[in-house]
Amino acid sequence: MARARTLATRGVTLMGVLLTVLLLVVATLGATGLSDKMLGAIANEELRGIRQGLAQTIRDPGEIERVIQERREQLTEEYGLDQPWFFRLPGLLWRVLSLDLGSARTLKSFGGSARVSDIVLERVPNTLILVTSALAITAILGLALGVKLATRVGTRTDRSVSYVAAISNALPSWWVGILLLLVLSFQFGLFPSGGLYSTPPPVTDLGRIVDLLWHAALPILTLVLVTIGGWTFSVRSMVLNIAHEDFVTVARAKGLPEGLVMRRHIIRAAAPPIVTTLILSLANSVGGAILVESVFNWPGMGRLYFDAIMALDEAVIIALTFLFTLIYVVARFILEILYLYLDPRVQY
Amino acid sequence: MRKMLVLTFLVFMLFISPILTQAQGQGSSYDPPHEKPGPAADKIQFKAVAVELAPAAVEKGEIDIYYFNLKSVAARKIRETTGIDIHQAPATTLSLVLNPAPAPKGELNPFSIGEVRSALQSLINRDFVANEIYQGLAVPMTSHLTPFDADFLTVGDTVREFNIRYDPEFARSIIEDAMTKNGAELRDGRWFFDDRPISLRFIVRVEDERREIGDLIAAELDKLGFTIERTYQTFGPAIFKVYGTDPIAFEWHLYTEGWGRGSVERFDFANINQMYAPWLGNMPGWQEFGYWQFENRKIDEIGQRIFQGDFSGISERNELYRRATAMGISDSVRIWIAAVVNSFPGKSGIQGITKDVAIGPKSLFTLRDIYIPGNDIVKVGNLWVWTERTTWNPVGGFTDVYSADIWRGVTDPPIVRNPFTGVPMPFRATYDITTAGPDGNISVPDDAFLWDSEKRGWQRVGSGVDTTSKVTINYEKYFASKWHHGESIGMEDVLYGIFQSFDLVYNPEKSKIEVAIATTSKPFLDTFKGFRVLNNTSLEVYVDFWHFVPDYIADYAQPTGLSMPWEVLAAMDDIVFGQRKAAYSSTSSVRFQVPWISLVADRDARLVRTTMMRFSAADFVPEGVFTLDGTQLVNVDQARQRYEAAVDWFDRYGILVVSNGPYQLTTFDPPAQFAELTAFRDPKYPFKSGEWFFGSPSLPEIVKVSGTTLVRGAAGDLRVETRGASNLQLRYSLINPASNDVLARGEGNEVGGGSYAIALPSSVTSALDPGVYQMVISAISDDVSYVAERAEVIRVETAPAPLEISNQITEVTPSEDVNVTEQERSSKTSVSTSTSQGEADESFNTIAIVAVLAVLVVVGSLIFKRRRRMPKA
Repeated sequence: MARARTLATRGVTLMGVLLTVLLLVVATLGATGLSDKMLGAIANEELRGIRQGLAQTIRDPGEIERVIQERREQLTEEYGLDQPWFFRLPGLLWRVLSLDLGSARTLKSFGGSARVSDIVLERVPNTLILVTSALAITAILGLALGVKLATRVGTRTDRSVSYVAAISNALPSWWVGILLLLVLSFQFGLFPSGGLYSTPPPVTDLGRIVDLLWHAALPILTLVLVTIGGWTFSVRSMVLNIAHEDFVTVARAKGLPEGLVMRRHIIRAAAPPIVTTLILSLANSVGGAILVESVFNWPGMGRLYFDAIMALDEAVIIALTFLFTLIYVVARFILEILYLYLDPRVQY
Repeated sequence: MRKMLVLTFLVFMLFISPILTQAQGQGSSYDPPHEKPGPAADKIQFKAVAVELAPAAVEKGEIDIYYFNLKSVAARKIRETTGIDIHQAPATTLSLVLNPAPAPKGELNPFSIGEVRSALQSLINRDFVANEIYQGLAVPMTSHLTPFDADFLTVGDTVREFNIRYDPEFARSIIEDAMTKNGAELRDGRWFFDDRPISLRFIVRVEDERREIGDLIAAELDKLGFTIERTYQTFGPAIFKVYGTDPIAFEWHLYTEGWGRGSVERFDFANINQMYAPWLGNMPGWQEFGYWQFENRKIDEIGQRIFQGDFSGISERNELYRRATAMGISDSVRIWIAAVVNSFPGKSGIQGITKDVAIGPKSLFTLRDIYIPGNDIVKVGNLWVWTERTTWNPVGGFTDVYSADIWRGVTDPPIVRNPFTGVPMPFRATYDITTAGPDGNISVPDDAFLWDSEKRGWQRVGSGVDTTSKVTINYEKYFASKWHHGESIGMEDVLYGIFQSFDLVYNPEKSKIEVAIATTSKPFLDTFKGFRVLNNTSLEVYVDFWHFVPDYIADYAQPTGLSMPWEVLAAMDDIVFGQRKAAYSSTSSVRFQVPWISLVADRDARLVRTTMMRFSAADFVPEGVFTLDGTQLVNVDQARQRYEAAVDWFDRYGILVVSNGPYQLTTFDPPAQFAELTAFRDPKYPFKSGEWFFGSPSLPEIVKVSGTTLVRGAAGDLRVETRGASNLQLRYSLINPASNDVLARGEGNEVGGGSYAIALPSSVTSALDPGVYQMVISAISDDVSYVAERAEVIRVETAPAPLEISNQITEVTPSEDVNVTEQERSSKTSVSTSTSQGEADESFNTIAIVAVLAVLVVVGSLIFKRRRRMPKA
């Protein structure tokens, strides 16, 4: 009962975090005048385009001015610029909270939809294929290597892998991406240079899936290369710290086999921080990898966020902020529950 | 500095001209690969390739031609690569826009001072931009026209008289005077006003070489003592700051603009207004309500006269154009930097490229004739195939350049612009024009009709309606062939197109949904006074429009582009106005939260298909549209056949782009960034490959000018040799290089064989002092809207001494004859030169004596002063 109450309190707190983040975004956009400026800029740019277009067909300057004035009034109303931000933006906030993400002003899905939910649903699988796959590979390899290294501290292997891990961790992802492109794509032609599919794309569904995976190989490799070092070293350190705890020494003193000590006493105790890193990384992975997605022209969630900011697409910016915060909040809540089961020492 | 000017011209002539002429030399002849109707290639594949990867993609054969401008470094590099040709066109212009708004009290905006703005013209090293930053792939610009534009011939002298050249010291002196007069103070090399440093916000675009240009200008301004806050931005944030904020908010002071040239224009009316006249909303303030506005009523008045055609003829128009240009340069709110020669790489041996004078190989005609011998497929790379702006609908779509590049191969417009002259010409339709303009009237026949949205039918206009012009458009070449889905094209498609435009504007139910299209189309449609179907293929259009080149009237009077069959348009109308599940325009799409309808988007194409199936089941024929004077042009069976053909098309290709051009759009795959066009081989399709091949324009070129040494007081006779385009109009301006004043101007006369004679009367030469002058010779052909220009150094010498004159007379006499040989002219020149040399020696002696005396006086006075200042011991 106490656990349930504690979890409920944590849940409410996390929802508070979600609301606060959204309110901050809305207040930042509204109170600073940024929202009005963004919408005003979009309307002005549209009017400028219309004016230049009209100049090709209408030769009466007075008539052009009349049409522009009419259009200006319509745009002001359409964009809600006739209302102050504190009337306009809360509506947007409420819509987002009720999971109606609304429509983008400039961005679209491949299918032609401007609904943010359609755009996101189209991008999420691309990101999952790329970033989440890379994370899964990194986590599995990192876990295996990290645990292995923790048992061989100070050996030549440990030292070598530690150096490599440090280098890997320091490498900028965009640089590794470009390097791999130059060598494996341009020099040896083993992988495509970017995008989702070959041109012309395969006609069969299976062909398309294989082609997609082939295109994903190089960006996944990039992400694995730049993250595996950090992962391996983190796991190694966590396992090593636990291995020096008294209860592990006691277990060994009791004559338990080393495998059992490792599984039951070391890895289980090290699991909470490892799982925390894993779950939060998984949650973050949905946000995509802006740089790698840009280098490989991969239309994922990272690129979407970047494009939304570049295109000043207010609706998408707010919706994505909401989604990313929501994912983080859910991940944190899952972690709270997992802690209870993974580490008996955790008590609420 | 004078040398610099001459050098600039020489560099231009030696470097840019050969580049452009080299391009024109390629592929001017064309051997069609076959005699089949339709295009040359069987398939064209469009794929997205990043601009950085494009050269390698062409080299590796992944693409055959790239439709996006390469960066200049890559373009220069790839020129050396064998097997690759670079197709070039001056398709981009660059300018610097200044914020001239007055600063709030206690602050000073330097650009609110006209003199400072003008001085900035001398602070931009345009030659460096052209020759170093763009590595020769750009040409300096000092007005809104590139040196290649047809109207540059009109304003060339006016522009030159401003004597705009890179002279930072001159700029410094002007700026220092102006700033000091306005209360600024220069302390330790930095400008202060009211004890605060004067800071300028510079928005620099980063996508291309404008970044380096921005740095260059910022460095010059910094040297003058201004504190520069550089902000490097891409398109979105930059336009947000510059065009989306009130100039008086000073979010920016300078911005590096870039402009894409749309199509070549023989007689400009819009560009000059857009670039200089505030009324058209492209000057700071942007005519935005509540913003501070840059104002110049005089330029607005003149600009509007040019815009409206309020002039008696071409000479008055040109005079107005010159005045407006001069005012624009004087204002210096928009300062022009360079015209960039865009480079499009393509495989060597590629056949059938028609080079538009403004946009190069991306002309409408290229896709029709392009092919690679021995290969059925042509692979075209572009920056994108699909973007978020990609919307394939002919009513409010095709707003992105990448879709338009593909669409040009899919549809045949009735009238197109000539790729060399820019003048409209008949293409798939032919036309006859009758006009009473600009002042007269034509009576519209009683039985001409217009769409009546209220009565839902075509109504006769009745008697007493007058208009300016009548254009009879013949659609025979359309009607003989079919739409891509196999259905015949007919007058019903023309009528539906007219109905669709008129009903969208005049039907209040529709116009309130598609407000943007309705409000912007209404003034245009209001000028249409009636239509009349003459026979099965011809339509008379009565329109209130006049232009001194009649083809422009026909271009204006096109009532429909005839790009899609009526049933597809009807289904889209139903979705937009009936079902309200999509919108034609982006603004309505945002307003009503529905998709912007696109026939290449799966969801929208499915909607159109479902709608047509419903139409078919309901035996639907659009009400009143096909009933003309009691005759029904489309019955239920014919309508059903159309619906079925369109549905079949969707079932086959999954998209619903049905048109009538040389290629059918058979694949459009946004995630793969890929589109495929397949040749339309209808036996009745009117054009075969090569029929509209233009190749490269034969650009006029001035290759040699002789007779450039003149004798003061004697008539001068210069000979100009040209090549390239014929029917040249050749003009010259004799300029004082020190002041850039035009001393004489006139026209040259053709003497045969591409040679032109420029006769300078003795009245002109006698007014010239001996020395060096500059003659700018410009040539334009009726066949191509491109100005060739050459600057020549002219030497004027004094008449020889009497004895020598008598000797010379015998030699000069033949030169009166236009057939004087070069050898004879050389002998005359040598005599004149020696005479001149003797005089020069005398002058030199006099100057030397005066100089020595002056030095002695100065030294003496200094010694004298020094002695007076010496303290007493």
